[in-house]
Amino acid sequence: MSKLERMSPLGRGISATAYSSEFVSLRQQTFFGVAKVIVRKSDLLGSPELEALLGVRAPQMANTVVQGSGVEIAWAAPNQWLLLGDEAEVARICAAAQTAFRDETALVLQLTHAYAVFQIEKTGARDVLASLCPLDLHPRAFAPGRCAQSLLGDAGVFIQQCNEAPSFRLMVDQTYAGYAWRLLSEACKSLSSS
Amino acid sequence: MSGFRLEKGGRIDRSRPLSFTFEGVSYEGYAGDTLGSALMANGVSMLGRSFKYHRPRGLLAAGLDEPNAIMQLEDGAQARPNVKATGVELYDGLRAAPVNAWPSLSFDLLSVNSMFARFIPAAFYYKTFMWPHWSLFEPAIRRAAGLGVSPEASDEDIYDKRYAACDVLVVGGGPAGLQAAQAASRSGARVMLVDHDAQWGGSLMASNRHVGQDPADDWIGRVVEELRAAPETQLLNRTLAFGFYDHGLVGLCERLTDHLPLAERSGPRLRFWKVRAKSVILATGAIERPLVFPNNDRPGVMLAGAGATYAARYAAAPGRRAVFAVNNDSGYESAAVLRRLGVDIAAIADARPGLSAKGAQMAASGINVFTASTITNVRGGKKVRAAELHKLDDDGQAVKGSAALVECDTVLTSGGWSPVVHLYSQAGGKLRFDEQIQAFVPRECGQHVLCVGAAGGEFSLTQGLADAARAGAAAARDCGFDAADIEPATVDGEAFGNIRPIWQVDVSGLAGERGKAWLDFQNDVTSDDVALAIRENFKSVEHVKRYTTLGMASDQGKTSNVNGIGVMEGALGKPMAQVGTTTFRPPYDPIEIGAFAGRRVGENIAPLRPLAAEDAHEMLGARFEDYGGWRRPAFYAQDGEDEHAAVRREALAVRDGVGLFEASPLGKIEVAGADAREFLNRFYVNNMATLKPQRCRYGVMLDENGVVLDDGVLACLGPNRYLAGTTSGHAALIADNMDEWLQCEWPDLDVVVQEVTTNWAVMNVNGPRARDLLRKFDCSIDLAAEAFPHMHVREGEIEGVACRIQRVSFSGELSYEVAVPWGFGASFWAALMDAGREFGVSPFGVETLMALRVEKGFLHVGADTDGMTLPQDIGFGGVISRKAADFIGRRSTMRPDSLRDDRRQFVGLECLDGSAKPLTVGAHVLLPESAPPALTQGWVTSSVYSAALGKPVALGMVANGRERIGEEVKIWDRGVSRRARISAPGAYDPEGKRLHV
Repeated sequence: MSKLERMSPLGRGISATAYSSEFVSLRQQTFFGVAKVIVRKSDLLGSPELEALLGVRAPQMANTVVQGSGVEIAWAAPNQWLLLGDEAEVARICAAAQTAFRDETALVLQLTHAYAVFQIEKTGARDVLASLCPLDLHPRAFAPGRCAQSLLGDAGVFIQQCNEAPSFRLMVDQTYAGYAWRLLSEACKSLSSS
Repeated sequence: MSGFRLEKGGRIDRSRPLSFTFEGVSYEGYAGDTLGSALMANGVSMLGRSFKYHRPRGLLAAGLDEPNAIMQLEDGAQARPNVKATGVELYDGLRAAPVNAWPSLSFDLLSVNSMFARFIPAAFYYKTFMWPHWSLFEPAIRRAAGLGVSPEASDEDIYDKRYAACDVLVVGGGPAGLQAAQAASRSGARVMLVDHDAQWGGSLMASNRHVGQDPADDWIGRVVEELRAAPETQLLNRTLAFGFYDHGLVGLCERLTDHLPLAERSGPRLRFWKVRAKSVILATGAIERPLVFPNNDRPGVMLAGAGATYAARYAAAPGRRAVFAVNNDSGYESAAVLRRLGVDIAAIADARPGLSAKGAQMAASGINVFTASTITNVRGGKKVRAAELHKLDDDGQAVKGSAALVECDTVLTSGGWSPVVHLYSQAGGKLRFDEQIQAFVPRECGQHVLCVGAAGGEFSLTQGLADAARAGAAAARDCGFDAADIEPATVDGEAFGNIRPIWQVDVSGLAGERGKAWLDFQNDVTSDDVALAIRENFKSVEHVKRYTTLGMASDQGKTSNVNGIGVMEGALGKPMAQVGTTTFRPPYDPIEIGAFAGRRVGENIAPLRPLAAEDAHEMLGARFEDYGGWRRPAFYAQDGEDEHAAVRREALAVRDGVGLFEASPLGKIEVAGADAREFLNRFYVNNMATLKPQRCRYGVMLDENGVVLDDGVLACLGPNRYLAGTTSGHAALIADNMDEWLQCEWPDLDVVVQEVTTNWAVMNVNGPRARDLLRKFDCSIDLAAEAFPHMHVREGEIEGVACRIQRVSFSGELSYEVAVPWGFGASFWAALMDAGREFGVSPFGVETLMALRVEKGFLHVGADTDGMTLPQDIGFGGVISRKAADFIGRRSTMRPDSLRDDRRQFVGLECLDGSAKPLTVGAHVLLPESAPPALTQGWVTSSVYSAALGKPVALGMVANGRERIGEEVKIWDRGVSRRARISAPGAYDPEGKRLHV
């Protein structure tokens, strides 16, 4: 019996699905590591043990992201954080955090398989998102280091601005990957043809 | 033929002629025309038939306030019913037709209605077509009283959507709007300026005014250029702000391609904008009111301002010889415009007793101005031939014997102006009645919204611009910008003067029959109808509106409501301020439903969620259905099988060998913490406090009313760590419930919760050979019966991939639910199918699983239960009585109604008539001797043919059913009765021996 093969949310194989034009580029980021840390006591994430593990203190301000050593840590809800980054690195930190929190009321869950992750970039990215997402992503309202949870069409989305280019990371439940792709790629084409 | 094209002037492009048809006849217009102006320029005066009386109608207005010129555009998929000719930009090849006229406009059969007008007043239908039933008359009446025809072909257009946020949203691109936007924009604030017109300038476009020292056009051009250059300012023309909602949300509809010839259209047709504005400035102008006098609906009778707009902006004159009837100075301005452009002004009847300065100016220039006079009738049927004028006495009554008959081909009236306060009112703004201008004006609003210019009741342009400049800067400052006040522009030659309110010309003292006076042209409501409603004791403005349908047409009474309120003032004897207005509701002008649907069409309406191995299911011939938002195989049809044959085959394969079912949508919620056990024990009816690690227990969850909400298997993964299973459709609901109880009711409990449903794909290997099949895999978990018994859970690895296996069964057979990380799901399915070939593995779908569980008598929440089912009804009475601890819904299971002994209970139903046909789900259970239809004892909730038992099996909810096991009943389904016996649920393997192998 051979090893099981892995499929990305958008289909067979590990090939990225992408759209690119002068104004906007869109691609699926396959096998991007995602984990969620939920703790009952809010000071747990500030523990020196975990700080050493992450290389940084988990963000305390709502809807912000900090760069740790190897992974990014995004505030997701009170006492909830997402660890984002290289899958192996996320897995490594998860395992360590699980050990660290063994005696605490906490969940450290690898959710890589639960999400489809898209990266949308270039000058038209905001226009594309403005047709699907009610958030105000104007530079005065949203900037690198910010994240938020909102809607992409009718699906829930986690959105993070990665740089000023701008580049945004979008994460939807993987069962809505096809839906999100249809909406995003249609909107990209619409923008490029107008 | 009254209207004609002026030889020069206007904002039309005479180098771009456009051809179009109306009622099949070809005409020519120019770029820059509306359909309305082009028809006027071609001398077409009759554009429609009225809604009820089928009276001939022509243009009344030049904007979206137009009630008469309702058109059907194009046909097939591009058909657009009920558009206003005044709001349609002319394009080459446009095809328009009138609505509500048959066989033609000029010879309309139903115009006989107008002869019976006196017999069919308001509410005639309510009073007349009562017996035997309204529905008998409705089809004919609907055909007779109608608007356009809905397109029969499906809409091929695509519609876009856009969210936007801004600091200051300015609605209206006329002088006040431009000025306000300029002031706000200079601060660097994020400003949006929108106007439904294609061109900027609003009322200035139809005047020859100067702004400062320059022609208005120069000023408009300069401001628009400045706004376009401002990086944070966005201009949207052809964009109607149609609705103002809570928290600064304004709905816009941008028309992207409607102005283009059909062949040149591509991309989205409309774009629906949802704008969140911190501050909104409404510069929406004002709507002129018609005068209400007999036959005021004749084609050729128009609003004075509209007449001037047609002539000045579109170079389309409404007639060659005009009579004006006014009660304020604005009518003189319109007359001056028309006169300058070559229209003969036959007379001006001014209701006011003395000559105003404007009036004196006009009289001095040789025009007949009649003071204290007004129009009392129009001669002519399909077009105007003459106007009858009378003197008014001090009470506003036309004086007998003072008549003057003036020949003319158009009558232009001005009854004053009503500020467009629709959006302000939708925002929650309150209005007050301003005696000075005789109109409702904005008073106060809880939202950040301000009306400027005419919309604010300021009819002086210079003053309006000053207000707008101040408002624009103030709005920006409110948003935190350092906005300096700007020098506002000034405008020459304006006047409104005082106004003499004449809400209805009183012709009661005159001799002869004069016909009705129209208030609401679109819905055919006359002043008599309002008087009748009041006589019949409808005294609230809202009641009069509904009884007479005044203001309820698609123009929402833009030209009629205030006049109607004025007529009510007279009839009720109380001031207009007290009569009040009806409620303004969005949309300001009708918006196509496609704009709201946007890209939510086809597969994007309610996107179905795919299973992990969707491609494989597809290739195996799965017939997919929507199960709670998931696209799941109902069954797999082989060789042309129907559903019944496929389900029988699949069910037997599971009973006799092994079947494979993708159960990935099953809800999965991780629960952890020192109080997890306590928390879960409160969540389930069942006693979960005794659940040990590595074990599973079936449980039922209730809502606070004690009603069965969901069920599933709770697995204890380790000390203080659980995995709660829910039904596929309820995963998010139960996870949300858990969060809510933890956050709101039991914050003291030391628990954390996270839904992980879509992280894990689940394959259910089901049937006596299930273990043999799984043993083909490299798995770290010992699958031996004694090592891994029924209702246990294990975590480990399969083929090097993390897995969780639960030995649970919904079929009554040996069954494993194997969960692997979702991305491996498809490959795992393929591997199982591959490895299972030697055991004759059969994929099976949801319908087969349902058949298997009905055979076993296993409950399906939502199928066997409903919104009244309590746990004791489904056999959990014992579980409750043995459980000491409290749980959600427990109290409600003890209400008197919950304790009735005749409650419907979950039982099996066995057919006694020997037929192989399953009972009908929903069929009623009756006493055997009853003569149906009779009082129901309950009903069939699940029913299938059992291939394993060779007979139909069914489940149902029957009054006091458990006490009645063995009793014969009658099953009655819409006239057909069958014999059945109440049994214990679960006809197949009642001892459950097959589970423990």
